[in-house]
Formats: sequence, C-alpha cells, structure tokens
Amino acid sequence: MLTSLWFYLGMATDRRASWLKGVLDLLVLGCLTGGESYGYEIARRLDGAGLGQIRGGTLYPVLNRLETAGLVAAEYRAAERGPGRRYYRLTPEGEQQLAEHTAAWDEFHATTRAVLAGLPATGTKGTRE
Amino acid sequence: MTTDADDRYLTDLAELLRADRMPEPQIEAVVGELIDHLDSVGARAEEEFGPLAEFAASLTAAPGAAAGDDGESPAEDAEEWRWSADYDSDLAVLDRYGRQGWEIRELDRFGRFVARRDRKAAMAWEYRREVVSRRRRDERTALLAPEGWEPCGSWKFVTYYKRPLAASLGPGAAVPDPPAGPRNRTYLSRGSRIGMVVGAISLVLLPFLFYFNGDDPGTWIGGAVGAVVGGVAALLGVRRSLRRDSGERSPAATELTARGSDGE
Repeated sequence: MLTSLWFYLGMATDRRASWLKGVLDLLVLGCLTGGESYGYEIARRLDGAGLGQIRGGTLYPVLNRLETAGLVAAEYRAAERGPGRRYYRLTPEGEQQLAEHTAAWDEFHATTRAVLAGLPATGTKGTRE
Repeated sequence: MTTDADDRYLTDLAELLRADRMPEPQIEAVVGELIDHLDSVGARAEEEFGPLAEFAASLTAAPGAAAGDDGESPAEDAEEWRWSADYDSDLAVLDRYGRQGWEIRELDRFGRFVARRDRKAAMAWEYRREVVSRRRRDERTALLAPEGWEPCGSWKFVTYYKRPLAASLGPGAAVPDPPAGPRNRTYLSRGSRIGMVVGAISLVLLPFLFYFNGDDPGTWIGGAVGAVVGGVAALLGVRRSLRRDSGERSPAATELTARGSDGE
C-alpha cells in the first residue's frame, strides 16, 4: 500500500539511485573479491556492469567507511610513472560481511520478486509481509 | 484501528504538509493512505513511519532528494558558494578551499564556480586546470580519468578537473570540523585589479578627450594604438597565467599560498 503512496508523490523516478545507494558498499566489496583494486578501476567495473558512472564524491566516502570499519585494508603505492594509487583489498572481516550480506540480499531479492509476481511471499528477515 | 496517539501524529503530519504548501486534496489522500496502511499492518504511526519531522520532510522532498549522495543531489546539510576568479587566482583559491571540503560541481553560465560542501561529511578535494579546445576536451578527460580526475566545469578553452584527496589519503582526507564558509565571492590578482582600474579611468576620460580634440587625427591614432597595445598586453597576461599553472603541477605549486585579493 505504501508503494502506491510513493508513486503518488512522484518519487519513483529515484528508485534506481536509492537502490544503488543501499547496496553500493556491498558492490564495492564484491569488486574486491578477485583481488586488490583501486578507486578508478572499481568505478569502471561498476560502470561496465551497467550500474552507471559512480563519481569520486560518492565512491571514496564508501571506501573510507569500509576502511574505517576494517572491512577493507588500503595501501598507497607510489608509481614510477604517473600518480600513486591507493590499493584496496578485502580483509577477513570484509569477506565474512560480504558473504552474510550477499545472502541477505539474495533472500530479500527473492521475496521481492515473489511479491511482484503475485506469488505468496515466504517472508524475509527485517521486512514486513 | 488507529489510536489517539496515531491521530495526533497524523494531525500534526497534515499540519506540517500544509505548512510546506502541499495541496489540500493531496494531504487528504496521503493521510488516508497512511491510515489504511496502519490499519492493515496493525502498527503504531510513530514506530512505523519514524520521527514526525523527518517523515514529513521525506513526503515533501522534491524528486531527486531521495538519491542522497548519488553525486548529483545535494546532501541535506549542504552549503553552496558561488565565486569567480581570474586565471592568476583560481587555482590558489581552489587549492585552499578544496582542502576545506568545497567540491566544485560546475561553472555556471556567468563563469562562476559553483562549490558545494556537506558539513557533516566534508572531504578534501584537489584541482587542476587544462587549456584544451572543446573538440579535444573529451580526449583529455579520458586521458586524465585513470588518474582519478573528473571534469567539474569548462569556460571557453579552459577545463577544470577535480579529484578527491581520499584517492591517495583515504580516511585521512576527511575534514571533520570544517571552518565557516568564506564570504568573499571575487578573487582578482593585483595585475587584474590594476588593469580594471586603468580600463575604468580610460572609459571615463576618453569621451572628454575626443570631445575636446576630436578633430585632431593624432588623438584618434593615439587612441587606436593605446587600445591595441592594451588589448595585446591583456591577452599576453592571460596566456602567461594559463601557461604557468595549467596541467600537472608540482606538489610545491599546490601549497596554500593564494595570490590575489582573498579578503578572508
């Protein structure tokens, strides 16, 4: 019922941005599962996946939060040619949180799909049926 | 079934929506939907919708506000500051205030820098300036992108780029307690100010000169030569300023020594 309210107020146009905002930290962690990476490469990978251009003003605060929380470790390396870069890699805590939150996202996604398809929802943690 | 507390919450909500100029039929529809929702889920208004003021603000937010920090929409606590500078002063001002968390979002149609800062989540920025034709602008942007530079505004043949200092400093680039925003809106070097004064005096004096000596060819020749010499000198000054600091700068060049009239 609230869904119709949001439509009514014309806020549906921002759904995609809101969704991305909600899972960007998870997506950034996901980009590091294949090994260490740096800001531009992470942004390019997300863009290439179809999520649009993530600007530095959005990406780096997320990376900072993940680093402060101990979910990624960072190391600045100077380059012989060109600028130095800050490389990020997953910590064991980051790997654990990525696994947990990916499972939670999958469950949420399955429930959402079921509801949107008109099927009976089986329930998801933290959501109201 | 709603309780007295729910009724008070919804009545106060309607007042807030009304104060924010939401049309009356829309308020009725919104409150009606909320009552139906509370009845269907059996929840209390405050625990379901959260603090009254925040919920009201979310209902009256303009489309786009929900995006938050998507890079396009300003944060709730964002400050905005528009300023202009000549090519002798722009980079020094960008360096100084970039480190205080001011992010350039664009150059407006008057050529002013539009800077924004979220005081609750301020982050330091660094800037560079490139002299590049419009045709080659995309090419230069693509060349600088792997280094983390993003375009943040163009004016004629000059393009400015920004990069979060967090790209090299990480959380150390946060500006936890940013100083108050600057009041100054114009930054001009000593040379620009002298040029403007000379130009203003010339504009005042020339009509009198031509009025009293208009039939003397020497006056016209002198005026034309003076205009050409002044114009060439101004062009050479702009070219010198642009050549000096555009492109890659040494770390020493980005020290916070603003030239020109800061006035802070």
